[in-house]
Amino acid sequence: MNILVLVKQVPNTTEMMIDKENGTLIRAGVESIANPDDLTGVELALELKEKTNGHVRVITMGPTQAEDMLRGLYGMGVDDAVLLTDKRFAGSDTWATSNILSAAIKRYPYDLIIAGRQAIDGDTAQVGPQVAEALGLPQVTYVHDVTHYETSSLTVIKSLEEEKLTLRLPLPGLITVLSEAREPRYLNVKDVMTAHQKPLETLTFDDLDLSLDAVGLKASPTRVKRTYTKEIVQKSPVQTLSPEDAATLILKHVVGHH
Amino acid sequence: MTKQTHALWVFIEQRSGLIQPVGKELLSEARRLADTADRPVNVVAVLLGHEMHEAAQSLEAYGPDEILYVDDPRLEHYDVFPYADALTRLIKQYSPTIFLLGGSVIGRDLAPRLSMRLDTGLTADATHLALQEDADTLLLEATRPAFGGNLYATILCPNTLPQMATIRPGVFTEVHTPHTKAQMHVIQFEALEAPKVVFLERKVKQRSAQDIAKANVIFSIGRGAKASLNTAKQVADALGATVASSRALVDEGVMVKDQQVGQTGKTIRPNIYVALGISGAVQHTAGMDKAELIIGVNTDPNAPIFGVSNISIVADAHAVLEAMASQLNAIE
Repeated sequence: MNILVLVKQVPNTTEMMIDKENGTLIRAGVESIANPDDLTGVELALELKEKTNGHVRVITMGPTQAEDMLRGLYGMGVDDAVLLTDKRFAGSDTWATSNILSAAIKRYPYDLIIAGRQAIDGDTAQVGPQVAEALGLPQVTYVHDVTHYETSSLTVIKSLEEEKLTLRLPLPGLITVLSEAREPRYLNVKDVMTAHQKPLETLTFDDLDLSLDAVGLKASPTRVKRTYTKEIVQKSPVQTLSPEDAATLILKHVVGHH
Repeated sequence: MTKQTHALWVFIEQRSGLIQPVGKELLSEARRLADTADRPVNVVAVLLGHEMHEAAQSLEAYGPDEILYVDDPRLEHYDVFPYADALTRLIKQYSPTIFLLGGSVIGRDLAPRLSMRLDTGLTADATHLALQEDADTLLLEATRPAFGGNLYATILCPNTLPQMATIRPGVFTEVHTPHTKAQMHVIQFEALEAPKVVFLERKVKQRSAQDIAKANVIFSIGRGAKASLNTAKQVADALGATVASSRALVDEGVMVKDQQVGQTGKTIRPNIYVALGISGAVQHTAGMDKAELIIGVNTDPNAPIFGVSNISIVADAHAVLEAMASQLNAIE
């Protein structure tokens, strides 16, 4: 089974701090990691690879620093890694990002595409279904488990708000996975040792069958009109209390209220 | 239906023939938005289903000008292929200006697929909507918290139609507008795309805890009170309250996603929300700032949680929980 996994590099926090002077994100000192849902996707791909004698290729779009993340994924046991990087890709919204990713995917053989449900920096959950649409593939989002595989289909459990559905996805197809599905494996020593010798494929705009009006900030249909921070105005006087007094005050409000 | 008037469409999600609250919430918000505009804006409820005529008619109560109901056996249960196909055909026929969908698991499966098919922009999980009127354009301003912290971004989709956005369940409230009479259109399409994914089995999820969306009193636990999670559960049990948490504890695997409050969790409106050791990033407050009484407990007097707290207590949430437990024991 040929499996492609889409992975995004994200800041290792869900609470970015804002520079009060100019309203921009403070990126200094914030470590980059592979997005948690995506790492679970890599884990599921590696399990399927082991069971089917398959091949796992990871694809990411981002600045050249994303190479470090890809080397780390080699350390988990992926076979190939592709970095899509180009200044012309900068500022892409999800529509443009999905154009770029699907154009890249068309260069490789695949039976299954795995994406994380959503990335912790944007939380949109859009790129997986958009890539499936661009490639004309069936999809199952919010996958909580993969229970069975055949050459022509995959049986998965999809997690909805109140229920779980068991579904059969024909292949080729795309799934987006929840981090609850699997704990990603640790790096293994042998693969880490060879990670630095493995070739990293880098693709730019010129390698893809795409027009300029499908990529980057200018082509993106959504625009950020403005960003702003809300000044925190304390809504009530802040009182410093001993734990005992605080407990009494809270209980006074809560007791008998249910 | 006229094309000249701007139309604001709302996707009405149904499951097993039951209209889901998020559709009514968005319809109510769409009515409010349309009423703020200087020009006529047509609010249209869009329902896909099978043998749901009465349910379609009942949407009148939430103030749409028109109801588009597509009846087809393939639309009885949600599947992305017939749903995206039906909506694409409707959108090409009527050219709505704006299209709002719920940010449920179904909405988040459908909306991105549709935005790609229509080559238009989609804003994810907006928490505030407004209209911007220019000479002959009507733009949706969709605002959402970005990157946690305190940053908001207002996003437009100025050059492509429809301008799409998803909104999470619970962000807006249902409002009845009794006087309205909506024009009903029942539509049937030839040969909608067939589902490709095969349904095998359905299981209702085991509830691991009480539903935080229905609780009157919530004790919500953040990083600052992680150590006393068990105490919090005991105290909540004794008081008939329900325990919820911030995103941090869910990411760490200490709490389950069902109990997470915030933009990426649930949006709730309890009578009392006690935030224990939660800093209160916008990502979190977006899910609870409409609670009637908010009590914030944090060691940092500048914590953003105090921006939404009716009672602001600087104290160690861990110690406060232990003190509550011993005071309750003393009463018993």
